Amino acid sequence: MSSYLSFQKVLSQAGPAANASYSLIASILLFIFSGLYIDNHFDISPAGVITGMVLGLVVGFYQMVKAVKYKSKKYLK
Amino acid sequence: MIPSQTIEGPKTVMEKVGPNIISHVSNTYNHPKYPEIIKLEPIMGIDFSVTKHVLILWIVAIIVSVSIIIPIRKYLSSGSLVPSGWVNMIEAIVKLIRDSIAKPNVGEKWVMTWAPVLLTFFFFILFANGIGLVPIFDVLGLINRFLLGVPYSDKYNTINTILNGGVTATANFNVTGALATITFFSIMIAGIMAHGFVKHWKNLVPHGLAWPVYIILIPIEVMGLFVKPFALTMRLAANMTGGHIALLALLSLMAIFGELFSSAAAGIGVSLVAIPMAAAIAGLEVIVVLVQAYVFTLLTAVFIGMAIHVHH
Repeated sequence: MSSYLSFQKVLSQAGPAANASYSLIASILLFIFSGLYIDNHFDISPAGVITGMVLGLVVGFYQMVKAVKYKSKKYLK
Repeated sequence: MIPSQTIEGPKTVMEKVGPNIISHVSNTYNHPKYPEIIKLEPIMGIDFSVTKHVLILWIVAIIVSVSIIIPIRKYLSSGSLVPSGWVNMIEAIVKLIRDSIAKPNVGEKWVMTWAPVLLTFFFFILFANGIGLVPIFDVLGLINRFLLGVPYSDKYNTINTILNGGVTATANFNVTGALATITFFSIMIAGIMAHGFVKHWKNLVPHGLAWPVYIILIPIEVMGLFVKPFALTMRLAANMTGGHIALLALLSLMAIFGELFSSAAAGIGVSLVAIPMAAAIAGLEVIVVLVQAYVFTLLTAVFIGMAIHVHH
């Protein structure tokens, strides 16, 4: 029973950690692909990809910090 | 995804392998060689043609109904307090999702509101992922070809039309995108239900900051809204596609080496390594099927929980 409970604890704590990592990577990918699309559409290469990468990093790190902060507040309570 | 156009005229095995792998994980849509199962005219610009992945989604819906919804309805109407057999197993999964995923993330107050959504996601994705490991169409193809004697070139044969394309619907970005869209609206609805419409949008950014900070922060938060469903879309589809490509690439090595050395013995020799490795990856895929359904459900619960319990 105790192993089942510790398994449940691991499962419940894995969510915010996964959220932090996926937020960072997904944000970078989303903005780079959007930048690539804009580059091809308006023929302004590589301005779109570079802007997308910078925006992706900013939004991604912000989301990651937010997720980590949310996790710490939740589990420090 | 659309099967590669280069499949039309390859000569060697090396040239055939890539397009064949892609056609095994692709949807059958808008391609001269791999047409839709039922081609329909667009209605108001929307193409309602039945493709391989649409057929698979229908099959998954039937399997979920027969194996989950109907047994639970029967159990509830029986009035019995203790479930047995299959329903007992469903209960264990339901309890795990409710107590380990839903409750810690959305909280005690909202668990009964959001647990049904999370459970629907879990079971639907689990069966949609799992059906990709069952060679139903390959067996149908063998029966069609060797028992019924229908040649593969017969394009009007019903079974031949459903053989093309991949079986894993969750490897299609449109399917995972649709599932992530449901998550996106669930996050919005959860926030609005918990805090009200205006306060939910106000909660997007931390309170009490200097106003110039909001000029930067509001666009970052708005862009962040779309990152969550995008993460769900890419992760599930990429994981499901990746495993199948690895499996097919390993099996293709036999044909590649056979051609490279112009000898069947070379192909058989490579098969001694390729087949055990493919079997090991297939075993790993069973775990991936479970993990991916679980991670999608878990992340949805976390996102809904973040909209309900706002901490800045």
